[in-house]
Amino acid sequence: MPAAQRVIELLVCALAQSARQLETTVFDRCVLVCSNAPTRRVRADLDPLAQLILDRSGVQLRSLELICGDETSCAVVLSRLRAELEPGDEPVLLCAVDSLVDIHTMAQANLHKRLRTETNGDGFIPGEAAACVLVTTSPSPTASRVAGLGVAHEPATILDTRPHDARGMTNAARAALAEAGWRFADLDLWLADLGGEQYEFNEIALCCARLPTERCPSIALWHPSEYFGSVGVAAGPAAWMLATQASRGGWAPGRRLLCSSTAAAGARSIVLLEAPTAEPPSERLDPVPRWAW
Amino acid sequence: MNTGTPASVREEVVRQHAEEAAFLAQLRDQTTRSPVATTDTLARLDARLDAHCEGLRNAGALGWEIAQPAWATRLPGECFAALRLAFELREWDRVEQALAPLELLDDADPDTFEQLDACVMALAWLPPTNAIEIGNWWLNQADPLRWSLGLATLLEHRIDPGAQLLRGLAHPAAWTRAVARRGAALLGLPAEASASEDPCARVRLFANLGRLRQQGTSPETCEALIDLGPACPRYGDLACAIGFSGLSAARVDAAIQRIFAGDPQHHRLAHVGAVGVGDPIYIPWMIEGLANPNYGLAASYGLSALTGLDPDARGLICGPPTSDGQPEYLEEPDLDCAWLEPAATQAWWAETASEFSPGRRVMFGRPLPDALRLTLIAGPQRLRALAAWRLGLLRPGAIFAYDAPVARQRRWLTHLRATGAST
Repeated sequence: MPAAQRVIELLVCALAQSARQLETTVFDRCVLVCSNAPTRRVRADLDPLAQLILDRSGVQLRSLELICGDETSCAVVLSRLRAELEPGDEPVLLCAVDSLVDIHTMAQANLHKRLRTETNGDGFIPGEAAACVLVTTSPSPTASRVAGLGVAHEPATILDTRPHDARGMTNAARAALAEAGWRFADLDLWLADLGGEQYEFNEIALCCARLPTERCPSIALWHPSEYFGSVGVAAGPAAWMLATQASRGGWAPGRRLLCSSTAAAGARSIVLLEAPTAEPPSERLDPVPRWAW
Repeated sequence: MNTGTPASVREEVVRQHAEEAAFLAQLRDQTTRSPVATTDTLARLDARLDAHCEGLRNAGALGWEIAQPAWATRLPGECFAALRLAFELREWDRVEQALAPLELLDDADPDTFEQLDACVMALAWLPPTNAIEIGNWWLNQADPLRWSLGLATLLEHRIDPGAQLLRGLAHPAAWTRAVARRGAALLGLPAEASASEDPCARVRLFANLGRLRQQGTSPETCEALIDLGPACPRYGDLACAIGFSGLSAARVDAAIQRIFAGDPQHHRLAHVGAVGVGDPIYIPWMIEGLANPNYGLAASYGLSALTGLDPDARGLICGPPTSDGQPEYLEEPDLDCAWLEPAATQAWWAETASEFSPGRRVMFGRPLPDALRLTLIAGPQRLRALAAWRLGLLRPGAIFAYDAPVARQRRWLTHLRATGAST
């Protein structure tokens, strides 16, 4: 099955799961973000696509908007939705879907020695995913709050020969931190869409060196693509979901989380999340045995 | 709870969750007795185990289907995964399905103990309030298997089962008698009936531990514990260390000689036991033992456990003794330990010996008995077990559950820290 068809299948699965989680089958508004690569983009007209989703998953999307972009597009959409939504507005379902398990994408990456193979360790592992997040203005004790958001451009891209000083990522992070009113030292965790390429790790390291204005402890770095591969456009929302889940489960190192996205063409985005507090274990109130100590 | 299979679940991923959960359960069980693993190590394993169990749970019916055949093979880790999943799915039918293969277990088969121990580990994961409810429910059942598991559930959560304990002490099944004896010792409850003639070594071992808690230290009971060590691989190290701790110097020497007169496979128990004594006079003897392939690792453990030595930081680590390029060691329980290089360790001891006084007992480099509470908080698992039991010999109350899920242990330990143990 070609990637363009598989992304539809992935989308149907993610929407069905979202509907189950949220206990609803109708969404008033849905923004769907997919890759702008010709072989990976969602190539259906919107009305037939909404009908197909209804038929396959039982989820009704009353209004569907399709955006073809890159890895940072979800952050851009999130930024737009934050500006658009007024208190009391209906929530918007933001869906992202992508598949890098695509012969054209992999051939192109291999050409530039960006694909991880038996002979090239400095490359990414292709993956595919669909992820849906609900964007709402109503605060919830189980949801993350977007505290800051920054988007910038990196002139020295991965295919460029210019010196790479992580200017784009640093500028995006500075903008997001300024909006949130946080210092770099306040952050507890960095969730990056690192696919395994040295360039990206260098970028994080350089950014960490440039950002702080004071001495600060090291920050934990998670890269979920270690587990599910590089998932392109879907990496951003997948990281936001992981951040929220980790915090609710009590296994995140803290509540102030930074999620970064990197596009090959140079776009960079940073989303700062204030994650919910950990759910108290139900047994916290259980009696403590009378230990012999 | 909906236990149907979500459409997006992939069988090969769920199968991997089942395999990993079973493997990690077994690894965790061994780690609770590890000479080097701390609560941090155990916490990491708990998190991984929880994640795989969550994966199985989220897979709904498919998760159960995959965990169920694994249960039929009856490896302990698989028993754990299936029973824990059955409880987490909150469907009593599944619990009954999970218990069905246990009906066929042969009490004389040594594997039976391992499989039932794995079930108890799954029961230890239940939230305490649920465990009390389920334990009491099972104790009202006529079926011997469910009754035994009910008793084990309560005791694992340190709940006094009252008069049911006496029934457990005289139960026809050896595993149940061992559970009851262990429970009585853990809670410090009297168990009048003698177990010296019991054919099961584990029953006799816990009977002796219970006697020590009830009647105080007696050399005969301590020696009996040491003699039972080789027969109980799971609790042998603990039994020897506690046994040695209650003996005079002359009796310790005699016990060491008795161990060395026996099977070479068990010679390591002499070094493990000497940790219980805590006297630095045994350190030169331990250094001599480092070069021995049979018990060199146990001697390394003994040295670290007594002095708090960090071999990595001191650069004292070397490879195991080899014969024709192949390592020639037998002592599997100590494989996590680092081999200490004898000459370098000797030199280190020459510099350090003045910090220790012969006859002044220590654990992890600190004087006893204060070291017991500190070790319980921050020591390696094998020493934590010893510290918990030795505290139980000094004070009334339940023996600390050093093998419980770490999140729960940490909550309990905050109470111990609050009493000033860490200062």
